[in-house]
Amino acid sequence: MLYYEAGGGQEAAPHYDLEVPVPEDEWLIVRDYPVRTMMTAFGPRWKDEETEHVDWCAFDISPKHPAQPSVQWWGAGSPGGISYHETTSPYVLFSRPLDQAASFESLLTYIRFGELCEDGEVLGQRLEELAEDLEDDVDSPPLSVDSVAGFIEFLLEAEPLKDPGLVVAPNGNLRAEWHQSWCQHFVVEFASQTDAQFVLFAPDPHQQDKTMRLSGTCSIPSVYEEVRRCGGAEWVAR
Amino acid sequence: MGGEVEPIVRGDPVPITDHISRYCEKRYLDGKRVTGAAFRLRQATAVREAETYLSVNWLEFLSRPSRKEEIAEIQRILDTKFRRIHKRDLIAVGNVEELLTHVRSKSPDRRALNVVHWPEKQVDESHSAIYGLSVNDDILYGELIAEKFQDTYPAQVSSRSTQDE
Repeated sequence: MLYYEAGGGQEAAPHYDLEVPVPEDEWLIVRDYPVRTMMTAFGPRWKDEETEHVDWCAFDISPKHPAQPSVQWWGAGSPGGISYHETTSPYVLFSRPLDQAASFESLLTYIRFGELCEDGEVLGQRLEELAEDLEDDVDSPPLSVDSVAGFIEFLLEAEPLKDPGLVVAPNGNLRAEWHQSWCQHFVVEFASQTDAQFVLFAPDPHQQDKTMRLSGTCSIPSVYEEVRRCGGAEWVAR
Repeated sequence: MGGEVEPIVRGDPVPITDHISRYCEKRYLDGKRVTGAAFRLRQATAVREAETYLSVNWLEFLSRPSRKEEIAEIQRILDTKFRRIHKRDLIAVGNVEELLTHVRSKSPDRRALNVVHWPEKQVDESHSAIYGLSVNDDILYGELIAEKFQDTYPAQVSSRSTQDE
């Protein structure tokens, strides 16, 4: 038997097969514990046959938090299209592309617990530090939240990566840097949630003693494709 | 003649054999590595105009006997110019010729930078400027410059660093 939490109590719930498709590229945060939206992440849902109103819940599948109750979140939608943002859930929920109004705090939560990186806590701390540093500096623009969303999009698009160094550009955009040496060097500056500039220094595949120095502006999914094409995944990926 | 104010002479090239330093705030550092973000011009905001050059200091102009003493003097200058120097902020040092040659030879447009003396009278006489960049430049230029500025020193005056530890 599965349970969900509502109104402070636990109620038994019937089981239904999922009828509303959940796109695999959507994801949510379950309290402080984010999970990728997968079919297995969604448990029972409750459908009111008269109103066609659908409630559903999601499991915390994070292996980091095995002690958490299995059902952590529930929300509402309608068949044929889940309107995530109409939920009254107290928990943070995103669909991709990320909500333009996503707050820095909610993005930070995803960095910390989203299992997108090796040590989310360290990256989260660094992000907080950068944001606070800029808040204190009246002469500089604040850390761009849109840019942080772009960073998350990049991590979701790429294969699992080593944790980057995070710095901020003078325009407030977040930059992620993977640096082994000046001939194994990859920087992405997130201009928005969808676009980025990158620089890649990598050994020339046809002349290993020479360094290719590439740069460009492109969509976030294209950035990592370029890195892979140039052999950068060797030192960027886990 | 007593009381006569000497005119400020700006724009003399810094000799290519000499060294320049750049103040790098911790937000531009990846650990102790100076990143290309430290060498980007700042865009205009509501309170200031866009930068047209990168501010640096000409170390040999200070006429100090050692690099250590040059850095101590730069730390003192930064302390008077800036409201707050964090203990993790760094001073990055590079050689003028290495910088100019590297950027010219590795950039796609063979970019020619100029390093010129740009004194700020009484406040910062060794102040100099790297010209040849634009706020709309590709981020590559910052990376190329950063490659040649990896000799780093604390930016905070030594006595204060010790107190903060």
